[in-house]
Amino acid sequence: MSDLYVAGKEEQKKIDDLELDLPAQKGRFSSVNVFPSGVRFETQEEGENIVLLLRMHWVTNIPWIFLSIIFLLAPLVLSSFPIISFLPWRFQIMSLIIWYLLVTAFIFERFLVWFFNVYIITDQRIVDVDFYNLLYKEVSDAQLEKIQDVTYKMGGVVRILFDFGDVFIQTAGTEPNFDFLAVANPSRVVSVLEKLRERKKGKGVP
Amino acid sequence: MASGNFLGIEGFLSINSIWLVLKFFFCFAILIYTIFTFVVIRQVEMMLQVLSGQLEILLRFISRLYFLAAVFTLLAAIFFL
Repeated sequence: MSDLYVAGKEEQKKIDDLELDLPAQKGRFSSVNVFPSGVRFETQEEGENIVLLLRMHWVTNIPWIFLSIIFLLAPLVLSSFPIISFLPWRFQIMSLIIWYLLVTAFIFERFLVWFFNVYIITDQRIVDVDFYNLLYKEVSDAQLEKIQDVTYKMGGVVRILFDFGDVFIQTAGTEPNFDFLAVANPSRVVSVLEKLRERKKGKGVP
Repeated sequence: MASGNFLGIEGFLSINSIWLVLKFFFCFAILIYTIFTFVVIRQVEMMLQVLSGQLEILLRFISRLYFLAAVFTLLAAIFFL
């Protein structure tokens, strides 16, 4: 699983135009997508381009992946301790099937939550998409010109080692503040935001 | 002798009743799970509405496969247990 995904030549030209300091790597499960081709979001307007599509760094998935492996191996370990051996064999098989269905549900849910909780930076605004559970979502956005201050925080061995941290975006007025949590290359994300803001203030939309 | 037979039948019935009750609980649990997998299909659709263009086909396929697996397990529980 790579950190970054950058699409074809056209996208590379856009990156050069913006002088984005981001390496070109490929991968559909990336935490950082630069000018992702073919990707659209619900409230995207005509002529609005996605510059960065961010997810939490893949390292943040390790705890639930580790837990899933334990859950998957649990029946093998527990076979040494026959806790359901008093049941007829057909009930034992069904218990095993139900267990694996529950584990699958856990894995799929965790993946969906990671995959669809995204932070989007377009050439017009920033968008934060949050899915809290099965049926509750929150989408908030703010125009680039409303951004007042952008800071980032990196701390801890794991974060320094894998280069990820939190980006805090303070906005003007009643607009909500944005916290891009555990995103890869936070310094570069801040730099991209600064460049986009300058461009928007000065030359207009790139 | 007769009393012994009577107790035997009673014992046989009570054991079968236990498995019948257990079967009901298994089927009920899997039914709830099947409903959950249907909600997951809706959830994936909702998520893809918010953000589309990445892994769309794969996620739709997995969510439907997941629902089918739950339905198959429910049928297996009804007829097999």
